[in-house]
Amino acid sequence: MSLTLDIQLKRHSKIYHPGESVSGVVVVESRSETRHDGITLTMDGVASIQLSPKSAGLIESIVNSSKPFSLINQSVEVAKSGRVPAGKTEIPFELPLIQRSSSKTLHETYHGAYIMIHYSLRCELKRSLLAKDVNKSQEFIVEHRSGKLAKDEMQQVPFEIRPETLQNVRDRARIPQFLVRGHLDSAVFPLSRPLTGELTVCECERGISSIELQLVRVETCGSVEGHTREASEIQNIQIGEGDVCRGVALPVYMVFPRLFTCATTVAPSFKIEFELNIVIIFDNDHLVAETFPIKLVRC
Amino acid sequence: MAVVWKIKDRQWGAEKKHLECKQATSHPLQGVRERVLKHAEPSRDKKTKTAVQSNVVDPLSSVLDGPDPLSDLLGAPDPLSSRMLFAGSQETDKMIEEEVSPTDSRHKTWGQYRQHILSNFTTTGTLTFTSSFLQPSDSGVVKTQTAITERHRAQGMSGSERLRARLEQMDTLDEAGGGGNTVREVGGLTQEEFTHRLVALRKELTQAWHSDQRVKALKIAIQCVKLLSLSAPEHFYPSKFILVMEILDTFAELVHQRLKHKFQIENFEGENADLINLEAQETARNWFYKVASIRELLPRLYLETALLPCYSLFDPEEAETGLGRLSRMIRGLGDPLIAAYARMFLCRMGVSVAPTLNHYIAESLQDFLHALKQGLWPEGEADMNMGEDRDALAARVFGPPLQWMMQCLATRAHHSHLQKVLHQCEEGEGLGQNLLVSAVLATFPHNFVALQSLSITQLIAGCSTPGTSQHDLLCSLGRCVNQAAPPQSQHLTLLNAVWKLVTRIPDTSHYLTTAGVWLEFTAKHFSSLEVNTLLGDVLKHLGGECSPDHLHYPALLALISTALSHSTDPHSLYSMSNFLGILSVFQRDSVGAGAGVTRGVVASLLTHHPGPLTDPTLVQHLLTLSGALHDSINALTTDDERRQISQLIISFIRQVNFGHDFEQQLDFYVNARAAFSNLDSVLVALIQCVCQLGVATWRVMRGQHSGKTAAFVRACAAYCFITVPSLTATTTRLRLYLLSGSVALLNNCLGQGDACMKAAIKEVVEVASCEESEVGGQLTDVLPGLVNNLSSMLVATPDPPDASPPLYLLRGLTNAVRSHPWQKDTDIQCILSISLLHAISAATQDDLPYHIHSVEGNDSLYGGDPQVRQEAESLCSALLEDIVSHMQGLNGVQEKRCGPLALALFWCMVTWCDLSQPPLASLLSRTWTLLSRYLRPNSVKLTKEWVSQRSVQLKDQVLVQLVRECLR
Repeated sequence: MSLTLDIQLKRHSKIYHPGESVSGVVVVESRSETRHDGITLTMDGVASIQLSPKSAGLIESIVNSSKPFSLINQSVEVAKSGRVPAGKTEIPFELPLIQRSSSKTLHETYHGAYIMIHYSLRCELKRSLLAKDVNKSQEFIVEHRSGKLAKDEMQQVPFEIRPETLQNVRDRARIPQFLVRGHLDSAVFPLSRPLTGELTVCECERGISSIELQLVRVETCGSVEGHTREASEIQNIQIGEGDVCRGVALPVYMVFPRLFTCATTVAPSFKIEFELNIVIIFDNDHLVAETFPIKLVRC
Repeated sequence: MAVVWKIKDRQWGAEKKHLECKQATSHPLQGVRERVLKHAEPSRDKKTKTAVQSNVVDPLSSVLDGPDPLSDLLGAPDPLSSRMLFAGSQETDKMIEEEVSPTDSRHKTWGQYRQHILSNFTTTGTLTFTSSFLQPSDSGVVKTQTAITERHRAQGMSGSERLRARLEQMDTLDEAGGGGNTVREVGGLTQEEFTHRLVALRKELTQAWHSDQRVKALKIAIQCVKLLSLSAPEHFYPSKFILVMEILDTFAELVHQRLKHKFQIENFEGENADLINLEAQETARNWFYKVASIRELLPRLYLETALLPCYSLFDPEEAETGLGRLSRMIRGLGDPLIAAYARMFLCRMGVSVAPTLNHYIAESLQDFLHALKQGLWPEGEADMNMGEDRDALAARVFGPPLQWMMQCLATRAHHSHLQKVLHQCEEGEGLGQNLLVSAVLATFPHNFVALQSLSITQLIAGCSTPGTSQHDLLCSLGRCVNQAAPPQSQHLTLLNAVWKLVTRIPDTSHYLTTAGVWLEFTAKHFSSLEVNTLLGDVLKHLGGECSPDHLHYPALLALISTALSHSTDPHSLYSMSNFLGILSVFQRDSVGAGAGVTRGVVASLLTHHPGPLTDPTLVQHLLTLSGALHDSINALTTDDERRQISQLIISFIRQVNFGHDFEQQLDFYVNARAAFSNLDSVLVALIQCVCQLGVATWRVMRGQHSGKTAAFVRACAAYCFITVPSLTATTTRLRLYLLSGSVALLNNCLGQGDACMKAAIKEVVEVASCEESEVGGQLTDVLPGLVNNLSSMLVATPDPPDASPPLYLLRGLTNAVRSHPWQKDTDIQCILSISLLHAISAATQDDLPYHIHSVEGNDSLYGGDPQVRQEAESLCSALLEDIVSHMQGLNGVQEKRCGPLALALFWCMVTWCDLSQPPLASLLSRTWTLLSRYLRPNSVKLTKEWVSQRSVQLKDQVLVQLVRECLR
C-alpha cells in the first residue's frame, strides 16, 4: 500500500506576491485503488521569533520568546472522501494569497538566525483509523510586489573615513593616518540590483592588505519592554587586495545574495534591517570599519 | 694484308646542300631557362641573389647559387620542436584562432603569446602549490593547514570577524569530513612539478564536471585562480598566468556549452519556450550569483571575466556594462603585476564578447599607468632572477600584458583614441612611460606612428629611464616609418631629431643597429648626399677606436646593404666618399673580418650595383675584398663554400667592364689572376674573359690588326697560354687550350696558336691516362668529343713554318693516339682513329672545307703538293690497320661492339675513300657485312637508303656499283 503525495506549483521559481493566487496540482500516486477520507490543502504563513540567548539572557530568551504567530492560515478541501484510482492522479488547486486582517501583514519570506518567516502549502490525505494519514508540505516564497523608488531616496551617500571619524577606538596612537573618501549611490537599494558606489583611498601611511564589503543583517526582536538586537554577517566581498593605488576610485559593487535577504521589514514585534560595513585591513592586521545602514526594497 | 688508304677528291659543290631557313616562333633555349628558374625559386629567399646578379652569372649555375638547401634547413627553426610545443594545447589554440585574427603582422595571437611567455618566463626556484584537490599520493613537503590560520588575527578581531573565522573553520571541517579533502600546501616544487600539478587539476576539473559535481569544478577553478594572487617569483608569474588561464578556459567553455545547450532547447520547442527560457536563465543566474559571492577579489574577477561570454548568451548589454565594471574592479588589485595580467585577460575576453567596444581598454591602460606611477614592488622584495636588474625584470614581465592591451586597442580604436593614449604617454613618467612607448611602437598601426613620429621622437628623447633602452625604441620607430612614411614635410625634421639621439648612443653595436634602421629611412626618402652624411657620422663613431672591433663588421655590412638596397640612386652612392670610407674599413682588416662578412659585402655591392662596374676605385676595393675572400680559403673550407666564393668572384669579374679601354681591362685580369690563383673556376672564367677580350679586339679592328692591337692580342694569347697549365683538371686544360688556340689563330697570332695546339695534343694524352673520376664522366664520352674538336680545328690550322714533313700537328695527334697504351677492353682508340681518318682526309683536300679568317690554310701553303697526300695516306693506312686489327680482335661476347665501329668506319670510307681501289672496296663490303650483322635492321635499312641517296646525288658510279653489289 504505497501512496505518495506531491505538491507541484505552477511557477518554477515558487515566488508569489500578495494578492496573487497560488496555483498548482496535488499529485497522488498510488499502486492500487485506495480509499481515503478526503484531501485537504492548507496554506500556512508563520513568523517565529526567538530571542538571542546572548543579549537577553538564557532564561529570558526561553520565557520571552513569543510563540510563532500565524500570518495566514486557510485550508481547502481539494477532494472529498472517496477513492483514489490506481496510478497517478493530478488534482489542480488554486489558493488566494490575501491579507486577512490589517494586523496580519504578509511579510516577505525570510530565514534568519532569530527571525523566520516561512510560508508553505501543506497537503493532508486523511485515511481511516487503521491507516496513517499522508502529509506533504511544500514551501513557497512570498515577495512583495515591486514598487517604484521615490526620487528623494536615490540620493548619494557620501562618506569620509579618517582616524578622527572612528568611534570606539581604544588606542588612537596605533591607528595610522589615512583618508578614505567615497560614496554609496543611495541608501536604498532594490534587491534585484547590485549595491553600487565608489571608494577612493586618498592617502594612507601604512600599507593596506585588504578592503572588504560586509553585508550585515540586524534582527531586532521583542517589543517595548525588552528587545534584543542581533547583527550577523551575511556576505563578505573583497574589493581591494593588496596595497591598492592611492587616488583611484575603486568600485563598490556587491550582488545581494538571494537567501538571507528580504526587503527591510519593520513589524510591531520585530525588525529586519541591513547594514553595510566597509572594512579596511592594514598590513599590520589592524582593521577599521565604517557602518552604513541601508534599506533594501523590492523594486 | 695492309690496305692502303686512298683519299678521294671531294666535290664540295656537288655535295653542298642548301639549308632551308624557317622562321622560328620560340627561342630554342627558352624552355630550358624557364625550367631552371622554376627550380631556382626555392633558394630565392637569400638576399644575395637578385635579378641583377643572375644576368651576370649563367642561368644554369644560378640554380646552385646560394648555400645549398640542406645547410639552409639547418639554420631554420626545427619544425618538429615548434610543433611539439603547440601540440599540448591544440584545442585551445583553435578556439583562440577564431577569436583573434590579427590584421597587423606584428600582432600576435593569443597562442603566440602563450608560447612566447611559456618559453621566456621560467624559474629555477621552488614554488608552492596550495589546493585541496591534490591527490594524497603527492610527494613533497605536505603541510596540512586550516584555511583560516593565515587569516587568523588573534588580536583586534571583531565580533563578526570571529564569527566568520568560526564559520570558515566549520567549512573546512565540513570539507575534511565530506571528501577527505583539506587544503594542503606543498612547498619546494620545481617548475615542472608545478605545471604537472596544474595539468592534473585541469583533468580533475573536467572529470568532476562530467560526473555532475559542478560545484567541485567551480571550487577547483577558484583555487587555481588563487594561485595567481601570489606574485613572487615575478619572473615566473607570466607562465603561471598562462597555465591557470588554460584551466579557466576549460572551465568557462564547459559552463558556456551547458548554458548554450539549455538555450538551444528553448529554440526548438515553441510551446514551452518561455518556461524553459526562464529555466535556462535561472540556471545562468545561479552561476552568476555563485560567482558573485566569491569572497576574494581575484578569483571573483577572473571567473566573472571568464563567464562573460555566458552573459552575452541572453543579454549582450549586460556583458558590455560588465566589461567596464570589471575593468574598474581590477583597480582593487594592489600589486601592479597581478593587475596587469588580470587586465590582459579581461581584454582578451572583452574582444570576443564586445568586439566594437574599446573604452574599457583605454581605461585599463590609464589605470595601469597610474599603478606604475605609484611605484613597483618595494626595493629588495622582488625575487630577482639570477641577478636580473629590477627594472629590466619589470620591463620584461609587464611587456606582454601591455602589448596585448595595446594590440586590442590598436585593432579597433579610432585614431583619436590612439592619440589619447599617446597623450597618456606624455603624462606618464619613468618606467610606465617607457613601457607604454615601446608598446605603442610595437602595436599601433604604422601609418599612425608615422603621423605622430615627431611627438614620439620627443617622447623617446624623454625616456632615459630603465626599461626598454632608447636605442631599441628608436629602432622600433625606425621600422615603423620605414613601413609607412610620415608626411613629406616632416622628413627632415624627423631625421634631424632622431639622428641627434642616435649619435648619443654610447654603445657602438647598439649605435650601429639603430643607425642601420634609420639609414633605410634616409636612403628611401633622401638623396645619396644625406646618406653620405650619415655614413660619415658612422665612420666618425668607428674612427674613435683605431681599429674597429670585429664584432661590428656584420652591423657595418648590414649598413652597406641597407644603404644600397633602399637608396633611390645607388649609382651615385658608389662614388660617395664616406661610402668608400666604410669599404676601406673592411679592406684595412679584411682577413680579420671573417669570410662571411666580406662575402656579404661583396655580394651586396655586386647585387645592388646597377650595370657593369666601371669605376676603377670601386673595382680596386672589390678586388681587395675578393682577394681577402680568396685568401680565407684553406684546407678546412668545404667544397660548397669554395664553390660559392668562386661563383661570387666570377660574377664580380664578369661585371667589371672598362668599355673600350681594353688594356685596363687586361690589366685587371692580370691582377685578378694574381689574386685568385687558388680558385680554378675563377681562373677558367678569367681565361674565357681574356679570350672574349681578344675576340672583341678583333671585332673592333674588323679583323685587320694594327701594330698596337696585334701586340695586345698577342698579350692576350700569352696570358691564356701561361694561365692554362696552372689548372688541375686536364679536360678543362684541353678545352681552354683549344679555345685560346683558336682565338689566337683568329687574331693571326700563328706562333701562339701553334703552341696552344701542341699543348692541346699533349693534353690529349694526359686526359687519356686520367682516371674517369678526374675527367668528369666516362672517358669514352668525353674524349672523342674533345679530340673531334681538336682535329677539326687542326684541319684549318696551317703547319708551322719549320715543320719538315707536312701535316705536322695532325701527325702529332695521330702518333699520340696510336702510341698511347689504351685499355684493351675499350674501343676508344678505334673511335679516335676513325675521327682522325676524317680529319686527315679533309686536311689533304686541294680545297680545304673551311678556313680561319685571314689565315692561309695548308691548301694554299702547299698548293696541292703530292707529298702532302702521300704523307696523309701513309698516316691513314696506319690508322686503318689499327682499326681493322682491333675489329678483328673483337670476338666472342665482344663481337657485338663491332656494329657501331663498323658503321663509323663505313661512313668514313664512303665519305673519304677512293672506292675504285679493289682492296678498299672489299674492305668496305666486309665492313658492311659486319655492320648488317650487328646493327639493328632499322639502322641498316637507314644506312642503305642514305648511301643510295648519296650515290644518286653525287652520280658516283663507284657508289652506285657498290649499292648494287654489296647492299643488294
